[in-house]
Amino acid sequence: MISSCPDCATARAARHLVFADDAFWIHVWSVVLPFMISLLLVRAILRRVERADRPRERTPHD
Amino acid sequence: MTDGLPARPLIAAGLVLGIGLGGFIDGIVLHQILQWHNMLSSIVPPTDLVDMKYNMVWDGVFHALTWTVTLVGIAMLFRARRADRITWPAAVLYGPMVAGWGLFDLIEGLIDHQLLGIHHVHPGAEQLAWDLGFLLIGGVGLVALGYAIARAGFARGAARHRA
Repeated sequence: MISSCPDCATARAARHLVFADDAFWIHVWSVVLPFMISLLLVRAILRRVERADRPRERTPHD
Repeated sequence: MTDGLPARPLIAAGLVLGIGLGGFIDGIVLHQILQWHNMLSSIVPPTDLVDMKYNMVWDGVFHALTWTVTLVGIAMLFRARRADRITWPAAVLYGPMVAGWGLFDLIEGLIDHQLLGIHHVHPGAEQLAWDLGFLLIGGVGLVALGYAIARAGFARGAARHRA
């Protein structure tokens, strides 16, 4: 008979390993951090683009 | 670069879309099709089915994040359509997308491959060469390419706007 969940025991064991892992939160951060830092860099890049494109204020020498 | 013309929302959308889609390319090509590595394959090598499924869960978390970032990028692109009253050439979107992809590769490579060592591009005797190649070509190279594409697009767009 073909079971509707042919590999439930292995999947359960894997999930248990994931959540019972002492380093669970370190692993979460290792996945999240590259996205967070990339998005922070996007903000920095946009600020730079905006600053570079802002029309320069006239000085008394102009 | 944009010649004082409003392009910030479009650049932002392109960069965020590039980060999301770049993450998808990494996950789909390197994790799934080539099966060179998984998210935590240097900590828990996928040598049996349980460890393979363990890595699969973390690959899923990674893909869920890339999906979320891509969705945010699409929303930003939709808003950019209304914010910029200039019809920019497609290069103004594609350039930042390529740069965003490179930016993600660069940060992911530095953090996950070099600092944390949770996985390597192509584990084995020459993994450092693969990791450095990834940083150089997939990171710095794509950022430079994206910047060049965007710059050319802005120049074309500004000239068209002045005409």
